[in-house]
Amino acid sequence: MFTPDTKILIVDDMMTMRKIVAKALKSLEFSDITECKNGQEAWETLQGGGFQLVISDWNMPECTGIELLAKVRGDANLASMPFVLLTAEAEAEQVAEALEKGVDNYIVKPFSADTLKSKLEQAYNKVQSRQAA
Amino acid sequence: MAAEQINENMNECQIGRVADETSLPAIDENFNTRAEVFRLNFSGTLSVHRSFLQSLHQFKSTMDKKGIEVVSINMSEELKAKLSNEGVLRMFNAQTQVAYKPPVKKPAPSIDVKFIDPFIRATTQSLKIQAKIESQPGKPKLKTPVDALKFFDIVGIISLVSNVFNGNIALCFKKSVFLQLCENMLGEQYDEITDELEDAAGELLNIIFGVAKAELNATEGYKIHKAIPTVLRGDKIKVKQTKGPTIILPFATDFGDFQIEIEAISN
Repeated sequence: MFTPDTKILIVDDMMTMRKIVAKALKSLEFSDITECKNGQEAWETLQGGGFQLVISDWNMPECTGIELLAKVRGDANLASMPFVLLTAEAEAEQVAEALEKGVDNYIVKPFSADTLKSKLEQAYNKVQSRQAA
Repeated sequence: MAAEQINENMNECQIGRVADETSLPAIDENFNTRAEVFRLNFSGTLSVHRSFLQSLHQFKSTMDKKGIEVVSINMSEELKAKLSNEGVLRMFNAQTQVAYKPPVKKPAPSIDVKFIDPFIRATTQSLKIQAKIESQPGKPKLKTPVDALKFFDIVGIISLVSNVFNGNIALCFKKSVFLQLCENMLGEQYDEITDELEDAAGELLNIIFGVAKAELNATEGYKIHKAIPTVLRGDKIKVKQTKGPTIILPFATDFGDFQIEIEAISN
């Protein structure tokens, strides 16, 4: 599982959801949390380096979560970054698209801190498997 | 002269051999009928006295106020010719077809009720998981003009567009309930609805909409489109839907009541 000192980037255009995710992460003992308002801002922030996990909303203006994911996977330095998508819509087509683009897990709103923990564990395991392969 | 009820759509009165000021029934404000047409039967009428024209004018005026059309039937060709020569035939609205054909009414917009349960489930689930608030759904009801007078402090609205119905959903809160919800959801205490908190109403509606939409699209075969919520904040906001009937879904919590209003008209 990700350790409490994991450097996490939360990306969401809605302040409420950023706060909800941050609150849930803090309840899981994570403390190194940065927030961005959209995919473009997140992309610029990620260039600064050091991030170990991205939790991003799907629907955002300027650069959506899936577009940010595609950029991350296409970047030599960031390609292996654990990436989790947040969505309000758990429809099969969306899930398929996210998996195709290389997402490590997705979280459907609403979600509890326990669900977030479980989803992060699954994402962590997936990343470990990918790196071992 | 008395009026005879022919059917629920039609009244009739028989005009005598000579139509005069006594030929029409006395109609006052208390005349009560559901009829949409009043027939004047000129069968056997040979002539029309000028005093009838004055009575007819008043009679038609009264009927017009009640939304009832006055028509003349069974008028002989000779009588029509006389009235035509005098230039008054038009006011008789003479009809050759005796049988009454009720006007085809455009059906009133009907509300699609299949989505009510998914929205109730989505709301209780979203509040429970995201804000740790238990909400008890009340009995859904059709919104009345009295309900429309109720006001709120913050309202989130999202459009409903699908292959089978269109409309909108409004999530309506009084300040005290909304602030408590935000406190539970975000872990911070609030005394006022700030600009930042407007975002919370939109996000909550977004979550509820997403959950209900997923269920409806999967189980009912609807193709509900994505939509972006709009939030209104102010003193005494009243919500008025414009297209058709609206269903109110009331919810009770330990902190007070709130409601969702759904206007969804079948395409």
